[in-house]
Amino acid sequence: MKELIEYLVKELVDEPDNVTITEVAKDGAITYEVHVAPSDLGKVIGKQGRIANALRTVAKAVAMKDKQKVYVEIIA
Amino acid sequence: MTDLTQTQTLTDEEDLPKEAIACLAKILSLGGLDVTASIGKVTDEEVTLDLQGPDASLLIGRHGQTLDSLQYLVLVILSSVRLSQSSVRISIDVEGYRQRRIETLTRYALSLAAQVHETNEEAVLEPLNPLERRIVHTALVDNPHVETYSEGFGQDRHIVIAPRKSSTAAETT
Repeated sequence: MKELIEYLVKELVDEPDNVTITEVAKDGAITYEVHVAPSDLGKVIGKQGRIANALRTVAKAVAMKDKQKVYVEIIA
Repeated sequence: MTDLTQTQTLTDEEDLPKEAIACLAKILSLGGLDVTASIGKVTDEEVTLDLQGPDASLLIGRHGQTLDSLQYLVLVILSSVRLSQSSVRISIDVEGYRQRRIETLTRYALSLAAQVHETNEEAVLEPLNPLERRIVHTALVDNPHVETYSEGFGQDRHIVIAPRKSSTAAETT
């Protein structure tokens, strides 16, 4: 899952070298904290959060295969 | 078609679906899903990419929401390079889901329209995305008894089917 999120985010941004993903496990769910360059925030969030929401939706669907609960947070 | 003698060599529209497939394949393998992507129906305006396999149904989501998200991400990723020059639409589908959804929504719209005509009372639909609202509007655009409009904003935007207020026909009841 981490590799998937990393791939998608790196494809979206201008500065892929500044992308890091950290996993935080809590209460049976995993939160993926996506760190990007401040200038790339808009590229990952999108208008009205559309890109970020699409990322979340796809991540949640993929996690359903292993009956896992995941969250994706985007941080500059 | 414009001749782009720039740095990129992959500007042909024919390559777009292949790139979309490559992007999808990467997503599917990194996600550990047992699904393969292949080029399906091709028309002048649209290329449909088909997803098939044991895990494909996971990618539909409620009212196709996951499918829409996946399609959106792939298009955003491709568009950063060259989709803007293309006149071909790319659509991603899971085992004919989109076509079935069109048929289901059209049938639903027609049956609600009949009910609205009979009872002379408005019917309020649950929220639908823009593409789905278009399907409903299109299904009823020529219906002489009802009219449709959308109300609400964002995720809550939904269609209302109302008895047609005809200026010529008098109220019959």
